[in-house]
Amino acid sequence: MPGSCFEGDLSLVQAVARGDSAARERLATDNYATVLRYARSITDSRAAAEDVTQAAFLSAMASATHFRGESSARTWLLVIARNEAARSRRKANLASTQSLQELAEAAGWGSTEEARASFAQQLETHDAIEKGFARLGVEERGILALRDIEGLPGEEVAAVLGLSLPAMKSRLHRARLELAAAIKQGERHGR
Amino acid sequence: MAVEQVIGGVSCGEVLQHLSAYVDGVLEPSIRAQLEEHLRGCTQCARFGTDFSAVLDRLRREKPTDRRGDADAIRRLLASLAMPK
Repeated sequence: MPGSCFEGDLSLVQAVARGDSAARERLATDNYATVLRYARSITDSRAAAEDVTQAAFLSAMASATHFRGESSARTWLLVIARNEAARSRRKANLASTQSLQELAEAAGWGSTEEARASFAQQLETHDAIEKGFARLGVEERGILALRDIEGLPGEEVAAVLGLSLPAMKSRLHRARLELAAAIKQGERHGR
Repeated sequence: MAVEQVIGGVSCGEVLQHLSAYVDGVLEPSIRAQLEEHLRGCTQCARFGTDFSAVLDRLRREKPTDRRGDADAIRRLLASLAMPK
């Protein structure tokens, strides 16, 4: 494959396409945890995440002959998982209409020193992040899961989400602010 | 309510816009220098930057998507992949 940077992954997926069960198992075991964690971030239950992950691997097996090694197998599987999750959930996709400044104010930008101290205290509680993360929408959870939790490079996150790099950075920034705002909201609700 | 002021040649709104890139260390050096000057002179942005950065540190450390119990799930997946379709 001219220009392929992922020759190891290409050989592995080609072996999967030939029906090699050891290759299939290796592809699954190497990537399962990452795909499942991402699926959890973009679905509402563990069962739904497992369904999406399973559907993604089945779909990947079925289309293994089309893999050209132009991305890593991990990126390829994450894109398939994202498409499977999108297919399985309702289309209701609500882009946030808040301006960046409104979002930041909700996250504590410009708040009093007293309010800020209260936020810092809230952040130290053991489940502040988990609860704040759970309050986010699937798009926000998904981008934070890929970039900040899995630590994927920005270019790979953009490829998985089908976005340009600047668009991905902009959404990531908003998602981070939304997380801070969600934690602050939890503080107001005493959670 | 946030106050908007210009320090170091950049406004609070611009600092806000570049905050993720700054925290990630990928900001262009000239903008980074301006932003750091702003942060030295603007308590509001400096405080918010510290809190924003603390949220990201906690998120990266705690990995709220990470759960135990994957062993059974992967066994089920492998079994389903091995089944003739």
